[in-house]
Amino acid sequence: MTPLTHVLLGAVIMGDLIASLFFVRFWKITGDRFFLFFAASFIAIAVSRVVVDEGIPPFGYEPYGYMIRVLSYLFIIAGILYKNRGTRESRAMARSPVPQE
Amino acid sequence: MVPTFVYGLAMATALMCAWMLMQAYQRTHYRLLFWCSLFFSIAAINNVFLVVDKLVFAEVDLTVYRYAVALLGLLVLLPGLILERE
Amino acid sequence: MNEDPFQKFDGEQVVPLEVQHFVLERIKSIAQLEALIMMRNAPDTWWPSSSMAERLYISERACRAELEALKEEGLLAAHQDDIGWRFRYAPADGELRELIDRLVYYYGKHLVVISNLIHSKPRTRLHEFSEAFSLKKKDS
Repeated sequence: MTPLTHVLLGAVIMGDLIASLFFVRFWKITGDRFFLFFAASFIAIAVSRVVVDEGIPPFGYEPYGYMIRVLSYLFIIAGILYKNRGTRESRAMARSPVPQE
Repeated sequence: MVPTFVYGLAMATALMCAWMLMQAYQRTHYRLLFWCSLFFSIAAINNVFLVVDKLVFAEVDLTVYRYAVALLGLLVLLPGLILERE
Repeated sequence: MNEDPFQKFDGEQVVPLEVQHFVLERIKSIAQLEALIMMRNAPDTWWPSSSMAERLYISERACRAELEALKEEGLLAAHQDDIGWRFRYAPADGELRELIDRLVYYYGKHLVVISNLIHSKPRTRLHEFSEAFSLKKKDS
């Protein structure tokens, strides 16, 4: 890897971390845990980039890097599922009204 | 088989996010959604570069270009996250 | 709270749904509500945003923004002269006028309910990001 590649990689990792922090901030502001899933996803991407990079000993394990990358996608999918978890319940409730407590 | 699954998952996730965010942007005109959508589109494109790098041009290393595109995506996303109204 | 914004007490609406809906749709802050009530009490007066700002204990800029928002909702008329902007109580139609009258009545009777409605509105647009990923059918 050339020095330029290292510079770019460092910038990208930092960018992913900053993006993650912004989603943490959004969670703090709104209290909506949905943002934490995105924050986790960006952290996972950043970690995966570090792990894949051969220039950083003792890393340089591409398969692990891609596994962590998959984790980042799963975080997003989990977030979307989390966002829609109420939907199924409320649709079920709409079909059979629950008596008031 | 496993790589295909990973690439596929990456594409699906990125495109789904880009799509949902763009739909919402068109409804609400909340600019943050536009930048985030654009970011995920660039991420999807970068994923294509990843596939091309690994499979098609096996002898040429596109890594520097992939990182450049990733950085470009972040340079679209981060100003949006920082400057757009919460 | 997000699922059902309407305020209930013992399963009944203390404040009628149309009034609650009106507040949720058109009134974004307590300052706007107070301004609206003040201007309704003197409906022929053109209020400069500076004097309204004094009465509401907010900055003139903030006041102008609030009054402009009310104008956008069709509740006030605006007029610009060399001194600045002036606003007058002017609901766009009789239905709005009636809703405001009812709102004033219920605000007097059930202040907490009305202010809860106003404060339940999200202060940020971030929920729109979150909502982008909701698969439920959305209204426009």
